[in-house]
Amino acid sequence: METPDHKLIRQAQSGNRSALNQLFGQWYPRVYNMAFRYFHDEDLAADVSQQTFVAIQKSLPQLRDPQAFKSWLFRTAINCCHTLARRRHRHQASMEVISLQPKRDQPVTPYQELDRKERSRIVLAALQEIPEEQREVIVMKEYEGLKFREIAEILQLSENTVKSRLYYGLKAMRKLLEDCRLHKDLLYE
Amino acid sequence: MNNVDRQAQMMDYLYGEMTDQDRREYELWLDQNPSVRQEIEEMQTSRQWLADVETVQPSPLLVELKPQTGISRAWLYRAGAAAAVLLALWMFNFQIRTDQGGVILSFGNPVLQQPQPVEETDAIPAAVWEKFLAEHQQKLEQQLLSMDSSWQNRMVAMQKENKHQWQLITNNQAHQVAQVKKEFTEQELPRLAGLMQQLQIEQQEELQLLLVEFWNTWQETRQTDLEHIDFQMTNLYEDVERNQQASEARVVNYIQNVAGR
Repeated sequence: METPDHKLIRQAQSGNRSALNQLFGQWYPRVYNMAFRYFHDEDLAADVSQQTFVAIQKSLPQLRDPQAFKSWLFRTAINCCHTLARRRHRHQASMEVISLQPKRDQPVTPYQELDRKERSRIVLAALQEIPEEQREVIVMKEYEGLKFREIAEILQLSENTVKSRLYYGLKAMRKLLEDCRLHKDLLYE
Repeated sequence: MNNVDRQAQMMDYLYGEMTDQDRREYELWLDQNPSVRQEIEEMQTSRQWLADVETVQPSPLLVELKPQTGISRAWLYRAGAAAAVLLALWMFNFQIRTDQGGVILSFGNPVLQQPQPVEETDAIPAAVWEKFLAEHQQKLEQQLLSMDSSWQNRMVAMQKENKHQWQLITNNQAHQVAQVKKEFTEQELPRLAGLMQQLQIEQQEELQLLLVEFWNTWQETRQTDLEHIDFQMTNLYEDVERNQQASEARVVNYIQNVAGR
């Protein structure tokens, strides 16, 4: 059965500009947020979104099955993330990790004052520290709520590999955040 | 269970992607493996941290989906080139003068008339020179501003003119399309309808002829077949009769032989 989303995709494929605008408007915040969490950088997130939707707009008529749109969109977005990350690593020798330096000598109490924004910033900075393949799985699972099967399809990996990467990613995150003394007791007062 | 399977199962449990039955069994197993349960709790903490990340409001999507409006790129290039030419002419002091009924185009400094010998005067004070230069500069700036404004006006006028021309072309095209449609409806359509009707009649006649021909052929074939069957039946009847007579003769012969014994 054809859902309204699929209908929209079909209309966009047939050249309906309004449907294309609507479709992009619907998915743009999700792609942007995914890229933002991947890079922790609004400009790069905007670049990724831009490149993704330009690519999607170009190749949309070739999409045969509208059901595959979501996977295709995220695969394109994640590929754009990879490309940008590679380009960035080439030009930038070291990542900005100031916010993640372990502060073992400082007392615990200052963290009690961290507000939600600050915690968000630290967690995003920690995300930048874990390997790319673990980060992308965390972003897709935690923030996009995709099933393991869908992530495996997007990344063209086995489900078990995806789960394994997520497992190590979560462990790495815990280690990093503990180094920053971002304890859950302090976070959820 | 190997390490990868163990991790996979843990992730399925953590993200609720297990069947109820599997979950119950896994929880029973966890009761016997407190270290794994501890690990899962740690993972859950990581997830809570991750959930703290805020959703950001994206800046507007910049993918250009609307059709282009306004001055086309080609016209901008043309306007730019024209401005460059005018600037160059101005820089080289291009002048058009009329002299004794003719037009003179000139570049560079104007030919100055021989200066009249002037009487030697005292040196002009610096303040006067400064004032003169300031006035001159102001005049030049005004001229530049005026040129700029004039160009802007001309650009706007050109844009308007283009728009107008485009509108005229569009209207003309629409008119031509309507004219073609009208001509087609009034002239071509009846002619085509006539042709179609004629074709239909011809086809009907042809079909009728075919049917008659077919009927005649069928009748002839039927007659031939009937005659053939009749002939065959006659032959068969004669054969039967002959056989019967032969059989009777043989029986009589046999009876006579038996009686003779």
